[in-house]
Amino acid sequence: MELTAIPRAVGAFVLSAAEPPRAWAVLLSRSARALVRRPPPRDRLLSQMFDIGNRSVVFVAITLGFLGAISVFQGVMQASRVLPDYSMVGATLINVMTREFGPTITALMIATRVGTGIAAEIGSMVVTDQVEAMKVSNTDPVEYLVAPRVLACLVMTFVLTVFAVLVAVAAGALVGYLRFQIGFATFFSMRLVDWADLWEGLVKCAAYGVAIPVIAAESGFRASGGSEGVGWATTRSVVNASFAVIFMDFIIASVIYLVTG
Amino acid sequence: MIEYRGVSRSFGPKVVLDRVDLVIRDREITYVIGASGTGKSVLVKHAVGLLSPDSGRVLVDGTDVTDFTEDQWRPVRRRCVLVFQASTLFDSMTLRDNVALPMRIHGKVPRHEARDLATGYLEAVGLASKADMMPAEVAPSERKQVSIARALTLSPECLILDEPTTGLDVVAGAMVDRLIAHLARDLGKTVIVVSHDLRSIFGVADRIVFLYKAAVRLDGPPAAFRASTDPVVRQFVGGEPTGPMET
Ligand SMILES: Nc1ncnc2c1ncn2[C@@H]1O[C@H](COP(=O)(O)OP(=O)(O)O)[C@@H](O)[C@H]1O
Ligand SMILES: [Mg+2]
Repeated sequence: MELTAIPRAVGAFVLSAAEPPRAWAVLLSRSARALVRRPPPRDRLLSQMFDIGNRSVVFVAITLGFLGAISVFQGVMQASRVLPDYSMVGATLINVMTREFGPTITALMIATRVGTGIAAEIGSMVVTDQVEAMKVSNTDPVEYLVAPRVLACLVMTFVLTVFAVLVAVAAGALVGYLRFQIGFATFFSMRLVDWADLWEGLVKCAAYGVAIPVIAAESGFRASGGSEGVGWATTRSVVNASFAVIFMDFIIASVIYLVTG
Repeated sequence: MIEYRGVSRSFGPKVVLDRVDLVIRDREITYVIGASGTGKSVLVKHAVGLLSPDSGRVLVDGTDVTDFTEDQWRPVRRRCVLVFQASTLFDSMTLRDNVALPMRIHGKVPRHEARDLATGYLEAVGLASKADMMPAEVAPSERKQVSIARALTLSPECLILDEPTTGLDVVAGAMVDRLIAHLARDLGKTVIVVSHDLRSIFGVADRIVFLYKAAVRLDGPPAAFRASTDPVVRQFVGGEPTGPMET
């Protein structure tokens, strides 16, 4: 084997691994420019937002409801080993939901429900030449297909996250009251939530809300070769978007931890 | 006029075009023919900026468009329109509204005026009586004609039709052929047709470009084609299942 083979293979791997993030960055900047230059018409935006909400609201409610209930159950179990004081269970749940599980789990749900939809929709337009047809009729597919979805998804990630946190905390409070007799007044305590936690939640929502549609759309644009290609695009979309959500969660949490100590 | 100068294009290891030289003249009906997968669509997509060559130059009306940006392509795409094989009509709009759409979006023409103009374009392709029908309610050949009518709305000088008769029956194909002849003879358009429909080719072509193995194998009028002694051309024209041609 040649001496240069290994560095060359490493180089090729790094280049190929850097390719999707580069494409996401390009697509993101083109969508942003399209949004600034020509904002999508309100009715198209509203119908996108409705579609996103409609697809995910039940899904998010069930998942986060159970997550809230289980968290309280587990939290009480752990707390009771140390000392039987459950007064912090509600406050802890509210804190961790606001800055961590609310945005992140909701985003994972959106990536599966909404992201796959975007990838499949754009992917099937690509394999049936409709995207190229748009280009030759001087309609920018990014402006027409991606930009409104990015804006709608950004807004709806906030909305769904707020909803998710409410559902999770309500479910948790219910379990706390019915099973462990924690009073609602004790449970609904904001004393562990400060501005940094709210910011963390907000920043995560914004990052996920933009990343999911961009990654999904990019997967769709990459589709090739018939309906099989569309299947690949949706799979790649959910894998990449979920991974990106977890990765950004880690990065944002680390940065905020470093900044606020 | 569309000019290819030494245009090469590969996808991965597959060389689809290999130093292709070709000039497509104005107001002629040029047929680009060849077996499936030889790169006919790839060739014409270079003329509207959907693909760019790995090497070589593409010129439209004397302007080198090889390195054009999307913004620079806009005016070129108004002069030269590509009509795809699959229908790209919107299913939820009537034929008239489908035809009116580009005028409303790009020509900034008011709604009722665009609809009137659309009716005129549908008349030009002989479909005015079906203007209020939905795409799903008309025959595939009629959808093709509507796509062509829609392409005409921006008054292009040149139309590129990718496999306009593939999948149509003989009668429907003949109607599309007649429309192609009408575009060039009566409306003075340049028409490039990608096809492997032999009957259509010899019926209306002014000129035939035969692609084979990533290169132009023969380029000339139909008569030159019939008279060719090239065994590969003979096999294609004769539609023989066996022969020297590799697919
Ligand atoms: N975007 C693309 N990516 C990869 N390969 C492509 C692409 N477009 C075309 N090809 C390949 O180029 C060859 C020629 O394709 P095409 O021009 O569509 O053939 P046809 O002559 O039937 O129109 C085919 O083998 C096809 O697989
Ligand atoms: Mg083709």
